[in-house]
Amino acid sequence: MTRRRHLRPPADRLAGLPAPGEGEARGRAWRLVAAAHAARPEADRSPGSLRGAHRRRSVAVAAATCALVVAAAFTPPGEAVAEWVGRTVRAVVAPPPPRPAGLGVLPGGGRVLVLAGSAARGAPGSTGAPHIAGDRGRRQLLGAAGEATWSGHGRFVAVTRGSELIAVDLAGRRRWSLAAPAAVHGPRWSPDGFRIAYLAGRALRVVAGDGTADRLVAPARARRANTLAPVRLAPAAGAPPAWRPGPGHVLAYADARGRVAVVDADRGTVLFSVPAPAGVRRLAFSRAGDRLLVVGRRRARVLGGRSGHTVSTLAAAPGVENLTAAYARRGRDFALVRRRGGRSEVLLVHAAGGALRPRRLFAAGTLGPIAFSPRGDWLLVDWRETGSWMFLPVGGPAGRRARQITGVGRRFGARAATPVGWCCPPG
Amino acid sequence: MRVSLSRERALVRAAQRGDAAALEALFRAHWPAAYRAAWFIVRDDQAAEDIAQEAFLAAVAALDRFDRRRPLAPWLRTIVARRAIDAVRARSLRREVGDEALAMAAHEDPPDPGDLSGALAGLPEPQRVVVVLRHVLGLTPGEIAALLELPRGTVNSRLRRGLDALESWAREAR
Repeated sequence: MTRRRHLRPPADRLAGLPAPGEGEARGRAWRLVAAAHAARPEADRSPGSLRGAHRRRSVAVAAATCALVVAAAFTPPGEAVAEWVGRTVRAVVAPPPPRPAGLGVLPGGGRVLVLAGSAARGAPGSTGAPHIAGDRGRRQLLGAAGEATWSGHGRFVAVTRGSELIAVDLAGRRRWSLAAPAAVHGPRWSPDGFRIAYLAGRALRVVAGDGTADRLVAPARARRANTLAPVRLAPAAGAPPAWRPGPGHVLAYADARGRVAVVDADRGTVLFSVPAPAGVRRLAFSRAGDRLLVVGRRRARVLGGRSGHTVSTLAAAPGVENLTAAYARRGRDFALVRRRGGRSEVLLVHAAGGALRPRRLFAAGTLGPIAFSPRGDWLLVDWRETGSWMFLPVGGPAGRRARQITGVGRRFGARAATPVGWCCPPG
Repeated sequence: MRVSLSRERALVRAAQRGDAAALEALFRAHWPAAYRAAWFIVRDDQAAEDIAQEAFLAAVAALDRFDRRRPLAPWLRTIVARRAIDAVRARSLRREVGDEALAMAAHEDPPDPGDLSGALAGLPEPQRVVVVLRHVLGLTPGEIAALLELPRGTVNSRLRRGLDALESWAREAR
């Protein structure tokens, strides 16, 4: 029998060749496919129920529209009702279901830096193993780490582990490491790759990209006062520092006195320092470096990136809390994640002159970090409660649908997988 | 496991009505070819799993729009082929930008020359892709030419060279 099989030409035997990992992959895939099949909307299963669903949607849309008119007519601001109506209409007139996507070929391309662990990032003391996911599949870089960040050109990753800052290449090889005087948090690699800013305890430090010349950032004003006091920052759970794109090494940080300072990290000079909104969560420069977004708990403030003057402010409604934000790859638009109670939403905020015009892209339960694709045409949102990632089309060709990758934790052999950066912008 | 066309139509109809057992029968019938084709093209377990899994999820999402008069297999296999080719092309582009570290990190299992799987995996990529599309997925040379945007003659010559290499391997293995 064996002899006869070997005498068959290879071409006839190719269809029956097993591939490595086939059995395990089949079990995992079947669970996901069965779940997707079971989760199909009832309307999909019979033409009659589809017609019924259309009718129900039409009635609900009409009712919601009437409510909007009544609210606008009889309550002067009508804001709360209008928002409720908006939510209802969006829920009723549902967009097409997202297309499922694998991690093999990411919508938007590039590579996503991921921390995979037993809990979603942000839980106290949580750690995760840094991975890279992209068009070459996934690969683990190191064991458990606290935080991770891409280098400017995406050739290296800096990770924190206790009081250690470690730079690894994309094969997971350690290039260098340094021991800081306190626990390391919030590492951020400068866009040109020559500096890394990080928090050691509550002090801001900067090290060269090759691991040399580690130093405390001490603004000139403090030096002239002969205090040489380190810059004291808001607690490490607050906003990590942010580099300004462009020439030089200019860094923004939130200090413990409730101000946002922008310093030349090489010279130690303070370029400007302005009051910050309460509870700073995120600092981000626009790609041109001409705007600095300061996201506080209730207010998101846009500052001039070189002057510090306030350009515009977006205040949250009562009960709404800002979580995080990211600037688009081009221009001055940014994405903002907010939460009200157990519900979160992602807004795309269009900045035109001094006006900010938010538009809701997605709303769900618990949402985590966001990241724009390298070309800026997709926004990745960590949808934590479902253990999935949403890829929302932003700009680009019309008619594109949101895509969803489910079971992301399992894909990294962990319970949760949090995206921490999407690399790399073209050119 | 192969299913007849009439049986497949019945399974598709039942799956459209929500029958999970019917969907599982379709999945079992088509998973091996989908996964194997993806694996022999990309040579990476996880990427192959993603590609095959994504094809089935796309099939489930489009189940109600599927024309039951048409066979499921060619449609499913075309999805697999397109995604696998996309993955290979994306990988090639990444190489062009000179990401040496990433290239070194790519874990491609070295082919074991002792069996046919190893011999197939060891073929140069252009030949391997064509051989897999033809003999694992069962696409015609015309379909492969359209998918790869190549002249049909190029597809045929790559196919011939790939099969000749496998025949040489088989002669030596005997």
